[in-house]
Amino acid sequence: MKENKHLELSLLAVFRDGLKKMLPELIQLFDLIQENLQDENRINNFISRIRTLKGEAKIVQLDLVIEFCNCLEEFFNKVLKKEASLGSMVAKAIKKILSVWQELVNAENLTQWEELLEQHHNEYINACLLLKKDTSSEPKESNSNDDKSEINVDATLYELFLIEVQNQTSLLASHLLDFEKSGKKIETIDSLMRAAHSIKGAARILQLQPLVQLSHHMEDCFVAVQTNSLNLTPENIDLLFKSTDLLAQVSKIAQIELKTWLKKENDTINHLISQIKETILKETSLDKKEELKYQAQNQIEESVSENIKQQETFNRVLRVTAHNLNRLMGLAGESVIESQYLPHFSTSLLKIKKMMHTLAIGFDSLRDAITQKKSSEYLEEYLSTLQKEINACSYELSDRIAELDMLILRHSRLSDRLYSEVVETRMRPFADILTAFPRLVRDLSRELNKKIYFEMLGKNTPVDRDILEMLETPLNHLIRNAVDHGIENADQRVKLGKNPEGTIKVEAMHRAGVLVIHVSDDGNGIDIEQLRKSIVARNLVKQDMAERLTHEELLEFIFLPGFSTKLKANEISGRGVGVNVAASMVREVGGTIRVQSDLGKGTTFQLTLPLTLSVLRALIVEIDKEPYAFPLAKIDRALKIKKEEVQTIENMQYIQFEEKNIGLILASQVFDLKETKILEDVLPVIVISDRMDTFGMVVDNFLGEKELVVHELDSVLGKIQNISSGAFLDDGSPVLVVDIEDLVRSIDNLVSKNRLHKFGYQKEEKTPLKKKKRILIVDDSITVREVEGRLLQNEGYDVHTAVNGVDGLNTLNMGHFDLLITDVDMPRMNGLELIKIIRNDIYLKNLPIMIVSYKEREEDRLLGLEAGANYYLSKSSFHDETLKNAVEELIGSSKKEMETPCE
Amino acid sequence: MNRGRKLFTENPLLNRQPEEEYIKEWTLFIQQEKFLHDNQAECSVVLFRLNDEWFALNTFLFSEIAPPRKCHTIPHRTNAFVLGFVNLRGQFVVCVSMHHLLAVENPVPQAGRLLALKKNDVRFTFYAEEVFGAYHCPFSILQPTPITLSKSKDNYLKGIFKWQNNNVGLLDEDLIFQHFRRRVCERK
Repeated sequence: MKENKHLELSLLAVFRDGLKKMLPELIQLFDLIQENLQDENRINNFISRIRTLKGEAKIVQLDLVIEFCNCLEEFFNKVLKKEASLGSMVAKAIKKILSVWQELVNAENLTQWEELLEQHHNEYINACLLLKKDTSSEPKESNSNDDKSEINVDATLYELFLIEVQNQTSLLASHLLDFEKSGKKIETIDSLMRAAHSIKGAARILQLQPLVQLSHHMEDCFVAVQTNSLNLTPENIDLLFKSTDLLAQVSKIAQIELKTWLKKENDTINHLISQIKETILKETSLDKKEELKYQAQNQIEESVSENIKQQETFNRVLRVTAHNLNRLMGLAGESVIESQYLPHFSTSLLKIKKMMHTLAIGFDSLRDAITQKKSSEYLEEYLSTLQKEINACSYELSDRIAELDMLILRHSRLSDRLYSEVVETRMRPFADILTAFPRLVRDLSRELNKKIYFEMLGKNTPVDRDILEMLETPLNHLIRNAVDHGIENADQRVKLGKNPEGTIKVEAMHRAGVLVIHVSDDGNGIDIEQLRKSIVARNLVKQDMAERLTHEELLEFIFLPGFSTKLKANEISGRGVGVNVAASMVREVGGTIRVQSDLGKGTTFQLTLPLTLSVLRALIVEIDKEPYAFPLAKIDRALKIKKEEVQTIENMQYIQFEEKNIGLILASQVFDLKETKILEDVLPVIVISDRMDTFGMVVDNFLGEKELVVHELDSVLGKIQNISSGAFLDDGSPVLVVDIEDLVRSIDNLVSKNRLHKFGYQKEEKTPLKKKKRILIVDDSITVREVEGRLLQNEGYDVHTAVNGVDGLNTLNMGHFDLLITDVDMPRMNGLELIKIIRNDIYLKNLPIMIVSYKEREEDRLLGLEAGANYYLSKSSFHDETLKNAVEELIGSSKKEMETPCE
Repeated sequence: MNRGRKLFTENPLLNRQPEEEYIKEWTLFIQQEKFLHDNQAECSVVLFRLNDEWFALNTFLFSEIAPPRKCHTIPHRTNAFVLGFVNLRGQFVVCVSMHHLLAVENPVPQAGRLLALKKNDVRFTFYAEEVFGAYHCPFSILQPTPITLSKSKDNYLKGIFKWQNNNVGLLDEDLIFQHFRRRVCERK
């Protein structure tokens, strides 16, 4: 108990207060659990409390308490999984400790603690041992139905698997939490689905059958939620959490131990799987409306691309060949030497300057001689000396210019080489990502009882490593699709007169400055008529329209999210997620994906990708006197339109171009910049479009086309609307690269809100806005912050956010706020503490405070109001008007306030 | 060695004996200085002028002081505080208006020097009309800010000190970086 000596009494006091509050509940809960061991809710509740206590104990470094809490937690987790039961001995030991805690709480003087702790040292140890024994003595049936699963994959692959599982389980956990807190949201479900999908994929590569099945069923469960055929109850979510925990455990297991672990946990896994299956079956009602399904799917489409963008990497470590690095070093050294030449050059220019000076003096004396009317011989002689000096000077000058030309030449070559060398450091051979695929194909084909020959071509094709990284998932999906529903069974193939062994070919090549990747199979291909029918069946297109679609247009449909030609999804493919994921990832980096299919002959996916992401050809334009770059690959046209060609309808301006009516928008308006008056008769217009709409954007001026080296913007800013990255012009001045997809969305938004300005007219004077009411939202969940923030922003409030109590307090101290909305449970400083501090602060004490928490019980409400909150709301009330109304009640509507002063 | 001695003896000016008084004076001075060092905590700050007011910030925060350059507006983000991006050694760094933050009038924007700050991977730049350079500021000369200011919500000062007849405000870097992080994420 050495640590106790270092304990600060004040900290201990805090711990005691916490314990005091929690203990009655703990004892009560424990009694209830003893009565009824089946009550999972109570046990979970108990565990979560113990966890909290453990956290607190960690702060004050009470090792014994921490250890005990650990054991307790573990034990009850086992109880939940029906692996341990609460024996009388154990119960007694736990009760004993609880009474010891009661004693601790009752102790008046904190100095007595040390004594008390020492006194009960043995009881703690005893209890811990009992708990541990009880958990470990459980009989373990080693079910060996997966004997064949020899886990002897290569170590790096396994490591990758661990990382993947770790990442995805943490995603699962956080999204499940979000889901529980803020209810059903399409993005959350979608990410959950993807996480489960990814784990499934990873586990399949390693042939971990139990894990594949578990994640498969989890995915099924999320899909059911997504299609509204299942509503998750808290019990269901617990179940999913348990599965997630189990998967997370996997990520901590060394390769050698995995097999034994799997055997040990087999029962648990099977149990979980059957439970999940049950949930889905029980809750799935088949008569749900189809419409809802499609709505959901349309929404996923948007969220998919956003989700990908969120995956950011910080401080990556890259592998570069030593050879490459040596050449870089050489070039860098050369450039240092080159720059040393410049001072020397500068001194040589000084010499010319001196010569010019003497010349000037010479001319002065010549002028004097003329005014003094010297003889013409004298003048002539003088002139010829000057002439010689001028000649010498100009020789010298042309020498210098030649030298400078050489320097420029050398320097531009050097920087070219330096740049291409740097670009090369970003290149990796295509083979780098191919390693896992042969195995994948082999295993899948065996599972499906097919014969497949997997061919890889262009292994040495250099690919930018960012693109390479991003390629792995799409390729995985495409290959899986090809194996599953591309290639037919051997028997079928023979019947069709084909080689019984199917072929899947992955080929990478450089073609005309782009990277082209083909994934092709010689299977049965896509049945166009079948496709047409299923498009109609899914209500994506009307029957008559579908009749008129060409093959190419029909094939485009398979890239839609959730679209699958398969009737039933299995573990390998058919969910319709895969191809969509592939397509959205390829589009993300500015590439295209095409599919070609001949019925009975096979399918080919063609991915076209830029060679590198770091160089971009762009059109530089001027908006509000500053340069912006539009990537050439993403704009449709750049036009110069005469003013007379602009037509107006319903106060909207548009032009006719190639028999299309294109609406015009002012760039400065979309970018929220100062509007420039257009004086010239010719308007520079950039035509941009997404799959649906085409817009013409009026810019101030075209500055020209340029190759730009793309730079990342400062990550502090997060994503900037309509801007994707930056670059520098020749003179080093910054230019911002426009994010066309984002831009189209923004324009769409502006249009739908009918906020377009007409150009060429004086903009109506904006009535100066009254100062908006400022609201601070303190919450540790980003979802809650965003949801609340948006809700209130839409109501016209000025919303600021902070992530915990400490942050919130700092923010409050930095400016005036009209309202504070806070959560209760937060790290560092919780909501109640924050409120107490505010109420004791002379400057802040009158600030209206609202608590929004997911604690809905009456006692929590009272605690909050007691602390000094003016209003207590549960988080479930975002969806209705309650939050809005409550805010209005407290500080008044933002709108009313803005109107009254005007009157 | 030989050559050194030769030089030494050849120069009578350097070869002369210093006076007793002189040695004593210097001995005392060196002693005293050391004595002061032990007792007086000080910090190194960079002094800069915004319009007609002088401010100081911890020297360790400064990564570069550069000539002014073009600043590019950031759509949807530029406000009175956030001015835009500048090119700092081939990287995009946000440029802010310290004038606005400290409520100093800004008559001619983009004059003087561009100052780049960095703390825990967060960096930004701002313009100042003039930069004096580093200065060792003993804590003892630091005076508290007037109560009217320190109680105000817009106070970013740790204290005030006198320097060459100027009042210099020592800025609290934590508050400034906090403010920066908050404002830079604001959307219009």
